[in-house]
Amino acid sequence: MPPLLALAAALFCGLAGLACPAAAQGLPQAPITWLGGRGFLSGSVSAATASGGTDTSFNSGDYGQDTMRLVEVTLAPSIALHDAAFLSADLRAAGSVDHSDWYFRPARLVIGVRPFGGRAFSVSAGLLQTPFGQAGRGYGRENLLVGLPLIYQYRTALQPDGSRGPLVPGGEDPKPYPYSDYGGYAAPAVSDSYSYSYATPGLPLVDTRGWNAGVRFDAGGDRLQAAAALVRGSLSNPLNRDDAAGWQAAGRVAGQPVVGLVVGVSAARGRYGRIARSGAPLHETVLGADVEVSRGYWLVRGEVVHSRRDAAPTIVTSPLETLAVTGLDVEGRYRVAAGLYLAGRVGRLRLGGAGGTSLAWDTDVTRFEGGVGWSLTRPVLVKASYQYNRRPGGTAREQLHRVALQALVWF
Amino acid sequence: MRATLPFTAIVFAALTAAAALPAMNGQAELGWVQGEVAIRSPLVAPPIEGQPQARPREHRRAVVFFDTPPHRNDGLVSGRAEMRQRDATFDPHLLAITAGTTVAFPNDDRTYHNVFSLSKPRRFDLGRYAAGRSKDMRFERPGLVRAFCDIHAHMNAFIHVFDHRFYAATTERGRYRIDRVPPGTYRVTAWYEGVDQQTREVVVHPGAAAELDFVLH
Ligand SMILES: [Cu+2]
Repeated sequence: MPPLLALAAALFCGLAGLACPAAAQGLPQAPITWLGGRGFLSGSVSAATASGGTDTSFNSGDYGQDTMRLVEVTLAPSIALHDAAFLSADLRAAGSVDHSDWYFRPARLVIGVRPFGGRAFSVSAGLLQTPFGQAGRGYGRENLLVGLPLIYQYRTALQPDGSRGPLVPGGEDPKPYPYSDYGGYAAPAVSDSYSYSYATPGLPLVDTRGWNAGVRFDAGGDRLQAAAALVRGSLSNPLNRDDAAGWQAAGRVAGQPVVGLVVGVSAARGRYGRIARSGAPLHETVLGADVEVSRGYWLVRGEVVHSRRDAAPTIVTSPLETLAVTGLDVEGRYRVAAGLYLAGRVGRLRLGGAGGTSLAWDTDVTRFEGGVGWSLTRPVLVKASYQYNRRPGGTAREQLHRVALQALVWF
Repeated sequence: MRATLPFTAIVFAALTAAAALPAMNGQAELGWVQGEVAIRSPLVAPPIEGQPQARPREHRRAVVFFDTPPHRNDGLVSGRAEMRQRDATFDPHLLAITAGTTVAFPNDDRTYHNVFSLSKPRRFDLGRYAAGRSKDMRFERPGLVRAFCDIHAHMNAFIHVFDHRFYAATTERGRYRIDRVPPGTYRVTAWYEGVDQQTREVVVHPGAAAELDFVLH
C-alpha cells in the first residue's frame, strides 16, 4: 500500500471513528479469532504528521525517515500448532508521509515450543526482538506520545563502520540515510561500493524495531520473568543478511515485588559492525535498568541505558577507542476520564568520550514531549503532542520545536 | 340457628375463593419462554499477547431477550451483580442485568487489572487496582456495554443492560428460561458475542411454556 493511501485510510478511520461512533463500533474490538480458536490476528494502522517539515536530525527513524511523519501498518498473526508449539509473527510496514518509499520488516517471525506446557517456559527461533528494557513502549498504542523515547530512536553520530559523523555546528540537516533493500544496516565490509555519507544519522542506542535472527528463551510467571536470546547483530544494529555480523547475547530479568511495581535489568553484548579498512570487529556492551509504577489513573515509567561501543581510532594505527552513551527516559500518563489521558516524557542522552579519551564525538541531547491521547471508541486513538529537542551544537540543528498529530486504529 | 352454619360456611368459602382467585388467575394468565441456543462454532478466549497457546475453553454464553417486552421499567429489581477478573479474563464474559444494577469488579489475580468502557450507555474507567480489591459501577442506561482492561488487550467482556425483565443468559448447556410472561406474541432475539444474532417470533399462552430454540454462528 502506498503511504499516501495508508495515510488516507488511517485518517479516514480515525475521523470516521470520531464522527460516527456507530461505524467505529463496527471495528473489531478484540483480536480476531480464526482456525477454530487456534489462530489470532491483531494489527494496527497509524499515520502521524508533524510541523517543521521532515526532521531526520532529531527524529530520524529506521530508514532515515522522520518518525513523527510516518505511516505504519502492523499485522500480528499467531497460531497454536499444538498445545506445546506455536507460530507467531509481527509484520510491520512503514512509509514516510514525505516520500513514497515503503519498507517492510518482520519484527517477529518465530516458531516456538513450550516443552513443559503452560506459560512457564518457551523457546522460540526465527526473526525476533532482543529482550531488552521496556522495548515495547516505542510502538503504536504502547507509545503514549507521537515521538519516540530517545533511547530507542535517537541516532548518534556513530556509524556501522565505527567512524563518527563530523561535528558540524549549526550545519545543514543531514540527508536521509541511503538505505536500499537490506534488512538492516549493512556494515561496509560486505560491499566496498557501499559508502556512507558521514553527515547522516548513525546508530541509535537501542534499535528494537530491527529483526534479529536467533533463538530466544522466555521463562517466568506473574512475579518474575526472565528472557535470554542469542541473535545475530547487536542491540544498536540488528543485522541479518550481513555475513559480517557476529552473535549477540542479551538477557533481561524483570520482577514485580509488589503489584503495580515492575523493576527490570537488562544486558547485551554483541558485534555491531567492522572497521571498513581493517575488517576489525566492533563490539558493544549495553546495560539497562528500568522501572514501571502504576496505581489508579497513574502510570510512570523510567529507564536508564548505558552503552560502551568500540569505535574506529582517529589515527589509523591507534587501538580502538571506546565511546560511551548514557540515555535516560522518564514518562508518565494520567487518565483524566474514560478514553482521555495526558502524557509527558523527558529524555536525555549523554554522549561523552570514554576509555581514556576525552574526545567529544557527539553532543548531548535533551528532549521533552507532552501531549494528550483520546479514544472516542476503543480501537481508535488520536494523539496530539508538542515536542522540544535541544542539542548544543553537533551535526545539525541545535533546537527544534514540533507539534504532532497521530491517528491510530488497532484491533 | 341451623341455617347459620351453612351460611357461615358459604361466606367463608366465598371469601376464601375471592382471596385465592387473583393469585390463581395471575398464575394462570402468565406463561414462560424457554429453549436452547446452539452455538455451531463457539468462540474461545484469545491468548495472552504474543503467546498463543491452547487454553482451556472458557464458556461463552448467549443472551436471549424480548425486543418487544410487554412492559418496560416495571417491577425491575436493581440489585447487585459481579464480574470477576480471573486468570486475565473477565468472568463471566457476559453479564445480563437490569438498569440500575451495580456491578462489582473484583480482581482475583496477582497482577493489576483495569476496567474501562467507551460504550455509549456507560463510559467509565475504574483505574488500575490490585488483587483482592474491588470497584463498583452502576449501570443506569439500557444498551450494550463493552468492558476492557487497558493492561491486557485481549481482556474484554459484554454487559447487557435492559430496561425490562424479559431476558436471560444461557446456562452452560445453552438452555434459557424467561419467566412470568403475559400471553401474547413477541419478537425475541438471541445474541452471541456480537458475532451473530437471530430474531424470532413467539406466541405465549397462559400457564404454558413456549419453546423457542436458536442456532447461531
Ligand atoms: Cu487486565
